Amino acid sequence: MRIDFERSGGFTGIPLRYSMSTEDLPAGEQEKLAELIRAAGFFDLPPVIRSTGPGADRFQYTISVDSDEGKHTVEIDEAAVPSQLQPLIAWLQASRKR
Amino acid sequence: MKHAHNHICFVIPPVIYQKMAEKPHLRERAMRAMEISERQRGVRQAAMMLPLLGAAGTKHRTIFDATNGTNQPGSEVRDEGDPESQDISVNEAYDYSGDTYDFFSQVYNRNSVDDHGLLLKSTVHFDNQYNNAFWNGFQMIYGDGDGEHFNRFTISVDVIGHELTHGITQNEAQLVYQGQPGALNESMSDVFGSLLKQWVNNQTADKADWLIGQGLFTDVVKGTALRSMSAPGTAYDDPDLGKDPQPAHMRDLVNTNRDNGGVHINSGIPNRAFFLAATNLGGFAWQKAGLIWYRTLCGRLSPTADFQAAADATVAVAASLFGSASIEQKAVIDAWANVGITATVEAPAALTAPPKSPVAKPMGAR
Repeated sequence: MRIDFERSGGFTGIPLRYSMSTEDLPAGEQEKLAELIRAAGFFDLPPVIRSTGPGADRFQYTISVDSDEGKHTVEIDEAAVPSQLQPLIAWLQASRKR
Repeated sequence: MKHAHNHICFVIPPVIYQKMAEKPHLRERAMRAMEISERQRGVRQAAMMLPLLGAAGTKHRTIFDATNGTNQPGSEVRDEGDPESQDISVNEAYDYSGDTYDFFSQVYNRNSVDDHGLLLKSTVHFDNQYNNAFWNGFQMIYGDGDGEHFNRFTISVDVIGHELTHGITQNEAQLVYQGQPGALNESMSDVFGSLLKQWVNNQTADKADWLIGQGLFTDVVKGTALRSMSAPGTAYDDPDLGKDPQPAHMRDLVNTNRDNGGVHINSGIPNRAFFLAATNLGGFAWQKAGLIWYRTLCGRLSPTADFQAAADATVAVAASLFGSASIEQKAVIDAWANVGITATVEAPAALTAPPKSPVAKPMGAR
């Protein structure tokens, strides 16, 4: 499974951008990631999820997953992230430290 | 609707107290007068006045702690008038939002974000190692930074000023947070964030550093600040974080759909225009250039205004404040020209009117 993750916007305007192949992850992490994607209902999410309310300096995320289940990309505003997607985004942001 | 009889007689009519209460320097006197009257008459007049006073309001700050979760606002930890906390983030959010209130009140006679005494709420320790601060439409929210590249986001007064200015823009021009209007929105926040820092430090335009977010980077980062209003594109160049992407001129306008169409990127262009106008005019930047920009923000921009519209509006406001062909108007025209925008300059009315009577030719003239 291939994942492309991008975060843009925010007060700093400094983007975060990386791609990973899950085959490079240890087996435990591969399973955890697969579970996070399942729990997020990722493949059923609309391709664009915008926040309609007021606000400024929040992030925008673009997540692409290319796996045996299919290929799907979601663009989403930070303020509009549904609770089931939050753990996946937290994992993706934390894993940039690798 | 039937109105109940009000048997309370005021020596001074309530409307006078209401008017006094709208002026920050008279508010205390109005409240004290009503408290004395209250004791004498055994009636809670002050409480009756509260709905009217609410329209005027005062500086009222409340700080919340999200304890590294994402609940907003979190638990209240410090309210207006409470003593200092042991937590430096709490104190910085409190002090700097107070400075922001004072700045807009004293310099532009504005009573908080909505000009009606809106409560100033800040949440600190939002999320975990969160490299951000934002305005959620109602209040400010600050992360701690990851400690690797970023410090806590309450560390610089201009960050607080930037966020609160988003609230002001939301109550005034309502610039759409997308494309050029969004970059203008961002620039307004940088402009007044920078002016706040200069005002707090009593700096003239030539002494200011014109940097945004200085102090946010840790020592390992190769960069001075997040943005430079004087030299967009030069604030940082770091192997991990990348290079400052801001343009300083329209020819380098960035076309992207990331960051809501580059609102934090293309803000470099109007930022530089403001820097040029302010340093051209000299003195304290909030007095002339800042006043022009403030008046433009309050009533002279539509939500979809682009950079051209902002140039035209600031030039027109400069004329109405300081006169057509004034040095102030010229400084604004030149500033926009320097970033690649030719402002529309309206001819003053007097010059377009025809002369009342023909001018007599002097004797002997051809």
